[in-house]
Amino acid sequence: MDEELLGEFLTESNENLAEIEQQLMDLEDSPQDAELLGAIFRTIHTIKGSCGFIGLSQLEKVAHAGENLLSRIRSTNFLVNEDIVSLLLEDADAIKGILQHLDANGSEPDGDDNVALISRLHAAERLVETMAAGGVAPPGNSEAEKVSTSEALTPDPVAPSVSEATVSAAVSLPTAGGAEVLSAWAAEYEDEIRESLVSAGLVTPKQVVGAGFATLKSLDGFTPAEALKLLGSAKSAVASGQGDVANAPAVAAVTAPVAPADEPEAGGSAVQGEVTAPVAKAPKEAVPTTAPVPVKKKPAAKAGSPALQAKHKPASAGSVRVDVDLLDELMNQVGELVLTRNRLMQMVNATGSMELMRVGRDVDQITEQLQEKLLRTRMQSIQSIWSSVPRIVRDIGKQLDKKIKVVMHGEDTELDRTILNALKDPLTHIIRNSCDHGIEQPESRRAAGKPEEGTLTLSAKQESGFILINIQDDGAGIDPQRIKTKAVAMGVLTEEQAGSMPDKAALQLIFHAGLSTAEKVSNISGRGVGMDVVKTSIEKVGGTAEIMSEMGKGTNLRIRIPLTLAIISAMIVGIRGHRLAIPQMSVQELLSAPEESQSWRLIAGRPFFYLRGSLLPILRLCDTMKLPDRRSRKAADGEVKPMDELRQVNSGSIVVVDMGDQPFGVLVDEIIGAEEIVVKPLGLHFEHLKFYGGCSILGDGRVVPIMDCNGLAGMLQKTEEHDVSAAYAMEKGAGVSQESLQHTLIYEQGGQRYAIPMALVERLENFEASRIERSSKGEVLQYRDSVIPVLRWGDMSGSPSVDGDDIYCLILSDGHKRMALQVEDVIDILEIPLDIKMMSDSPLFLGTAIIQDITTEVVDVFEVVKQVDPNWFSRNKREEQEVRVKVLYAEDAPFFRNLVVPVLESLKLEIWQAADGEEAVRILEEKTPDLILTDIEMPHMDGYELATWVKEHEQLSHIPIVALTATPPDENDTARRSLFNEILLKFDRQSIEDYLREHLGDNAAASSDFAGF
Amino acid sequence: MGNVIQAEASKSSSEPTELLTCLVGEQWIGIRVQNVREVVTKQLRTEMPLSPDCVMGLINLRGKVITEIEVRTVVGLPPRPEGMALHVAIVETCNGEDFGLIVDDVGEVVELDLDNFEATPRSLGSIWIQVSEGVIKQQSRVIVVVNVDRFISLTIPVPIAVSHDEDIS
Repeated sequence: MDEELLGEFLTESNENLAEIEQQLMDLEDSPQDAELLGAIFRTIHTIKGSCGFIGLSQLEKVAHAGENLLSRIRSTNFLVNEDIVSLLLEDADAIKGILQHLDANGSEPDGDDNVALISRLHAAERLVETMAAGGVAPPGNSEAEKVSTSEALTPDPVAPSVSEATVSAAVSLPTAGGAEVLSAWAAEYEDEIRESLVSAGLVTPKQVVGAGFATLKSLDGFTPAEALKLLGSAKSAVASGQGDVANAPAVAAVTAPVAPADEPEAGGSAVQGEVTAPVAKAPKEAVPTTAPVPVKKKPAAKAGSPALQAKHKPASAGSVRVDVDLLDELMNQVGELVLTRNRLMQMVNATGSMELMRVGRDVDQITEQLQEKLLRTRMQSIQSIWSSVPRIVRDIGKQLDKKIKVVMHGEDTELDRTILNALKDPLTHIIRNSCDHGIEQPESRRAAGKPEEGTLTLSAKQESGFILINIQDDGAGIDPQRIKTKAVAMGVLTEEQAGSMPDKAALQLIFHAGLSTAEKVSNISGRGVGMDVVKTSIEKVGGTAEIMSEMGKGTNLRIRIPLTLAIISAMIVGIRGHRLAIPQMSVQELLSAPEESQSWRLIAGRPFFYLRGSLLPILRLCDTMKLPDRRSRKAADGEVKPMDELRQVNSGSIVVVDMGDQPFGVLVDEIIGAEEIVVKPLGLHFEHLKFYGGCSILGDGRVVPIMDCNGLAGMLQKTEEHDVSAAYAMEKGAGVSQESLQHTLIYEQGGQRYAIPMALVERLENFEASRIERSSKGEVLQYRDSVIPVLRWGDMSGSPSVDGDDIYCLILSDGHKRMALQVEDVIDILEIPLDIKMMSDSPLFLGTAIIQDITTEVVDVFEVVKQVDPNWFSRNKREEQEVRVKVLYAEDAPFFRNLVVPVLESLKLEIWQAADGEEAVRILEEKTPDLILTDIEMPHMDGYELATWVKEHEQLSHIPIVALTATPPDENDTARRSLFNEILLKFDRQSIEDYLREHLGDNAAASSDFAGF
Repeated sequence: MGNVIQAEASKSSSEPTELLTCLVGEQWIGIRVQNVREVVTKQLRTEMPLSPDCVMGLINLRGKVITEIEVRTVVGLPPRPEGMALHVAIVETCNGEDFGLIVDDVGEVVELDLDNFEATPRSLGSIWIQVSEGVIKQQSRVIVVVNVDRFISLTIPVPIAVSHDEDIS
């Protein structure tokens, strides 16, 4: 095979095919568009024709079948439906597939996988023929008659397209004379015949049809057979819209003498009249002379080619194909040039010589232009990845029975090709998601008062060095509540966090691995993988993704990416004499944070910065990078309390970095300035250091590492995890620091601060001191229809408070029992990690913690309560020695474990905890509990698997299994429900208690205890 | 690896193998000249926090960023005294990355003479055994022929699996 020829063929075919998808989809929308149909036909026809030439038999077959179907559609004026379009799209795909194979391997693929497709194409062809002949298809004779009788014809879709065709035909044949017109549709006839037709004034197919068989037969050189054949061609030409060509105004003059009545005075409607009249008259003759289909192929192709060539020529003449590697190489070199320029400029400016500076400026400018132009050469319009979108949307729409239209703005926005490549897959995924989860079924849309057809809007624009891409649908939107619930169920969030999390932040959780809110998992999306991948791939090219959604209105996904990767703008910061570059892209703001700033907070030994109402976690870069701190060295003349050390060095500037999830601050010594830098890769020795993103060379010639903000975020989490006190460190996998946060009430008594976990505090009451009454058992308070004991913290802590008229009481409750704890003053309720620094000797306290920089005693509520009622938790000391009921509790989320374990403990059960099903199995292999309490959603082995495993083991199968879950199995899913003796909701403490009391109460030694509640 | 020197292999090849000799502490090493791009003096260096001990930092060699490796550290010698002169041999490895090997001094280029080329003596330190292809015995000194690729790969830290992956999946 001639390689050059093949290459040319591939290029040309790919160019032609590039538009065919869109054209086919357009055709689906306006099936009466004859010109469009013609263009599609020509593309396939050209490919088929070339195939024969270069000997590509497979491709030829596939193309030929498509061509035949298309030609039948044209000849019968069949209005295509979506099935036909789908089939034609498939054909186009098959052609593309073969072309790709050719491109890659230089030969057609082995075997013939397209037999089925071809036979379907053939079947469709026959179907089209039958439907057209049977008058089933809309554009039959009856239609034509209707048109001819009623000139109003507003509902007829043919009218506008005909006039359009006319106009374009007139443009493509500006000087069309009779002969040219004739050759356009009757090229295969001999010159003699054409000449005699011209001389008879019959040049357009319509005129020929109008003249009728008798007239044609009587013309010079015509045999009846020829006349019949010609009439056939003319009719099919009329039917396919070719006839309109002849109605170009220029031609009209020629034809005027023959068809004076049809003089086109009134544009479209006159044309229409002319088209339809003869057709209406002709059907009888049309039947025996079924137009030979291939006849009009040639003219059609010819008519089409000039237009196509005109379109492509200017592009090919002024451009060359360049190897991408070469471009990349060039880009690198220009990068070097930019750096060298930076150095040169510094040196030149240092000399102070005017002449040198002038030359330097020139070099500077030229370099800049060169860089900019070269960047442009690597740019491709976003169209190159968007072009596949309509097809994807169409296919999904058909599959899901949804109506979706795609609107695009800014298709010509250009992006660096590396970035474009990286965006392609995420984009496809987002679009699939929008179509699948976003846009509702037509019925739901109608019910919601929205148009049945959903709209997917893609827009791209450039904005100060970044490209903003918006992908918006007008679907149902995302329910932040549902995401939260899911996130809580998956253990990504604690319930408290979910409660306090703003909706916007909750939406971003969709990017979290493993979260997919689709109720149904479909084969299009909803497997819970994907959105996290989307985010990662976008971040990989230095971009950010953000999701916004309004319930009922739709969802908007915003992607922000740099124009190019090679040169980025970076913030150069200094820390302990080192310089580092932080990409501007991820820098949100810069803060000055001197040591004496009031915004510093130290929580559990970790620094935070109070910024606009929230606490910004601070990454102390000098610590994470283990840079020696001179200042702290000076002070370090022995054991320095971490507290003091931190106080000393928390000063400098904070670079607020926002990678989408949670902003954090990077504490540095100084901000040196912004600089455009060329990103260079780091060597093998740094691959394991995730916080380095690369390096660059600054103007002074020194190398500077570029920080990777995702890596830094990872460092932040890591240091936090390391710092967390032993108790919390147990909760491996907790990952996020918030896991250890809890609501804590801070109160003051005699100048000392105390902290009490909110878990047992039911209410905070403020009332008149006189409400506290004295009884034989001590002080009491009437509270909610009962009398509860009052305990004065002042008496217990040894610093009695001076009571005013009003007093504060904390109402402590354990569900059934209440008591009041009177305190001097309530300071605040904070959500903080309770990190106990020093254990306490006093039984009343758990220990000492630093809260808001103030030493605070953490109160052991249980001990306090015991002061009033030693039997609050256990009526009878004796029972502790007795055999306890053993419960195996499997739960992966530490939050829930913390929530449920106290409940179990209060029921005096022996608890064996397991972090997942696998761990539970390991425990079960060793010992046998009286009850298994398990979460359903767990990593490694979930509740179903665990229950199934237990049921499979005879010696264990008697153990009741209770599911404790946020996501109970479906009501109808009896198979799954039957695995459990009971399914309880995680958050419902009461029902958990009730169940356990009921089922363990009668055989448990602690039964009397339960009754006491 | 194509550049492993073996006695027989060198015998048959017509090209004589040339080695650049460098001094590290008291020890002379030989690096195949094919691996050496150039030798430079002390360059402005950017330290990279948290990098392996032997990595002294990054240097800018005419627009190319190169990782500098202190050979003394790799072979277990005490750190270079402050202000001690050094030379940097810029070497190329088979993966295409260039590195700067910091040595005390650079000597002449010697031809690998098969008559005095011997297998690595067992008595050498374990690190030497890992990187050495053999030794050349001259009257006054012994040159250890160092395989650059093996030497570099010895300095690259094995990524430690971060115990983070237990995160919620």
